[in-house]
Amino acid sequence: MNHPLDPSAAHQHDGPYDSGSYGDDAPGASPALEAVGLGFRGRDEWALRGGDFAVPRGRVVGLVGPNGSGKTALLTVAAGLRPVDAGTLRVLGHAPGTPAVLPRVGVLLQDRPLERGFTVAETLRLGRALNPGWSEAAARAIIDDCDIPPRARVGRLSAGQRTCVALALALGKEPELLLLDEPMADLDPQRRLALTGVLMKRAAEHGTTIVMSSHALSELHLVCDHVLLMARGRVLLADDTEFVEAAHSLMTFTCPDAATPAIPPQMGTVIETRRSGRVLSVLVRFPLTTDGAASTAAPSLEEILLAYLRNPQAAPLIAGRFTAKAPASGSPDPQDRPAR
Amino acid sequence: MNVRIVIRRLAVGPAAGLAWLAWRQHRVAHWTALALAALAAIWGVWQHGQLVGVVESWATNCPHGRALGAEGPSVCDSTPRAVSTVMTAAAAPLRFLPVAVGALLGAPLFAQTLKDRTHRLVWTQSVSRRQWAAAKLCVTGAVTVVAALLITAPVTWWWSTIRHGRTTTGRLGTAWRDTTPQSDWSYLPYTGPAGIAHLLLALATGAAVGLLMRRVLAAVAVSAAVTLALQTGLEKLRPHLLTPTVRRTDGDAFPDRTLNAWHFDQGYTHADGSLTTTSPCPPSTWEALQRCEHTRHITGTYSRDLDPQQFLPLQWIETGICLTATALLAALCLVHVRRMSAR
Repeated sequence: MNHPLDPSAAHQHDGPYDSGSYGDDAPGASPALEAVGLGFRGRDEWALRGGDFAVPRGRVVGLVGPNGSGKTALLTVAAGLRPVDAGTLRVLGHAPGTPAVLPRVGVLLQDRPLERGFTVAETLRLGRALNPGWSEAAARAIIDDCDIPPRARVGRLSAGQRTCVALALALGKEPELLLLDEPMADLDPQRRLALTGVLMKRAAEHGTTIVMSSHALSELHLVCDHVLLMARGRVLLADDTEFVEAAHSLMTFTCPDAATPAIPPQMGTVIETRRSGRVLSVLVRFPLTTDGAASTAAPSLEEILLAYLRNPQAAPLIAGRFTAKAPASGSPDPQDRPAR
Repeated sequence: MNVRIVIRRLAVGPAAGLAWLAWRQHRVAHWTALALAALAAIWGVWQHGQLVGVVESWATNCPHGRALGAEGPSVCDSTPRAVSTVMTAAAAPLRFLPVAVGALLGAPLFAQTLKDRTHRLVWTQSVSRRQWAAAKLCVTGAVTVVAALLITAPVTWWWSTIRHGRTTTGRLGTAWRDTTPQSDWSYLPYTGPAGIAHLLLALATGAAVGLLMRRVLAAVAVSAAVTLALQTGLEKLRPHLLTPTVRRTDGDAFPDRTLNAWHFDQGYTHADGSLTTTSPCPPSTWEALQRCEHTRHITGTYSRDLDPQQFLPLQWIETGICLTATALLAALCLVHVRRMSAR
C-alpha cells in the first residue's frame, strides 16, 4: 500500500472525536493539553525540552516513552503538582492546578497516594467532601467492579485494589480530563479488561479526554486514538493514531550482495532501516516513491512506536507542526480503525 | 457543569469536608491531646480543693503563723505538700507543655502528610492547597484551644486563689501569705489568655517547621528546639515590656514589698538619682556605715517592682505577641504551600 498524503487534511479532525463539542468552554474550546516550549528537568538533565504539542479534547491518548523520559513528570505537571522548568503547559485552557481546572481534572498518580488508615468508604467520603461535582455512582461502580469491601482499610488492600480505589476517586470527580499514570500496570487481566471498558465507556459517553501512560504498546491501538511519544527529552510523535498509522510505510528491499543499497533520498523521511540477511526493511514517513522496493506494507502502530523508540533522533511528527515535506494532493486513506 | 455553580459550591462546600478530613487524618493525636488535657483538668480541679483545704487546716493548726523554732506544731515549719505540688511540681510540666504541643501536634501536622506523600491525594481534588492548609491549621488549632482551656483553667484558678488569699486579712490571710511563696509571676505564661496563646504559638511553630522540612522526626526535633528558644526569649523579654515602679526611701531600710508584685531588685540610691544593687559599704557599725554612705553619696534605698495591677496588662501584651507570631507563622504556611512542588 502506498498513501500519498496531505498532512493538512489529516488535521481537520473530522469525525466522532471532534474537538469542539465537549467541555463547558466556548465553542472552539482550548485543547485538553497545550504545550509551548515545555521543558522540565529530570534528575540530572532535561527530561523534556522545547515540547510543543496539543492534545485535542475527547481523545484517548497513549503516552509512550522509555523509563525516565518524562511521562510521569508530564502528568504531574498537568495535575498541577510540580511547576514547569521552561515554557508553558495549559490544561483545558488554564494554568494547571488552578481552581479553574482542579475540579475538571481527575488524576491517577503512579504510586496511587491514598490515606492508608482510611477505609475504602472513608476514602470515597473524602472524594465526596472535596469535589463539588462528585458522582457517587461513578466511584461506586469501580469499587464494585474490583470487588473491594467498602469497610476494608486501604493499607490492607493489594496494589491492584489500591489502583481501583484511586481510579474510583479520579472518576468520581466526573472529570473532563483524566490523567492516568500506568493505570493498568498492577491489575490482573480480568480487571484490566473491565476497567479499560469503563474508561472507554466514559470517553465515548461523556467525551472525556483521557491521557494515559503505558508500556503495553501492543494493546495501545485497542484503547487509544491519539499518541504522544516522548524520548530523549523530545516529543517525537503527537498525533491521532489513525494518522500516524497512515503516514508510515514499511518498505522492504532485497539486496543482491552484502553492500547496503542506497535508499533514494527523495523516498521520504526515513525513520528506521533494519537489515536481516539480504532483506532491508525501511520504515518511511510520507513515502514519495516506492521505486525499487520489493514490497510495501502498512506497519502496525506498535511497529511504528518501537521504531521511534529505537531511533529517538528521528524527526518528530507533531500535529499542527510540520517539518517534513509532503505532496500537496490527495488525502489519507482511512486505515482500518480497530473496533472499540 | 457550570463553572459559576462550581465556584459558589466550592466556597461553602469543602469547608466542612476539609474540616472532617483534617480531623480524620490526625484524630488519634487529637483525641490523645483532648483526653490528656481532660485528665489534667480533673487533677487540677481536685488539686485546687487540696490546696484550699491544706491552707485552711494550716490556719487552724498554726494560729501563730509560720513557726520558726519550737513554738508550734512542726507542720507549721514546712510548706504544705499541696502548695509545693501546685507551685513547684506543676511548674516543670507547664513549662514544657508548649514544647510538647509543638513537637507532637504541630510538627506532624504537615510533615506526616508530606512524608507519606498523601498530600498529593488532596491536592488533586477540587480544593485549593491553601484551603487545605487553612483547614488543617484551624482544626488542630481548635483542638489545641480546647485542650489549652482545659489545662489553663484550673491552673488559673490555683493562681488567682493564691493571689486572692494572700491579700485577705485575718488568720486565713496570714496562712496564705505564710504558706505560699513570694510571687515572681512565674505562672503568667501558664494562666489566662497567655496560657492558650503560648500553646497556639507552639502549634504554629511546629506546623511551619514541618511544612518547610517535610520530614517528621527532623521537624519534631527542630520545632522542639525553636519552641524552647521562643519560650526562653519571651521569658527574657517579659521584664522589659512594662515600666516597673521604683519606690525610694530616705532611710537605710528597703521599702516594704508590695503584696503580689513582681519584685525585680532593690538597692541604694545615689544623690544624682542613679541606682545600685550592691552596697559599696562593707557591713560595719551603724556610725561607720552612715559615714561611708555619706562619702559615697548614698541617699537612700529603692525597690523596683511591677505592681499587681500590671499583671493583667502584661499578660495581654504577651498574649498579643504570641498571637501575632502565630498569625505570621500561619500566613507563612499558607503562602509556602502554594509554592511547593509535590514531585
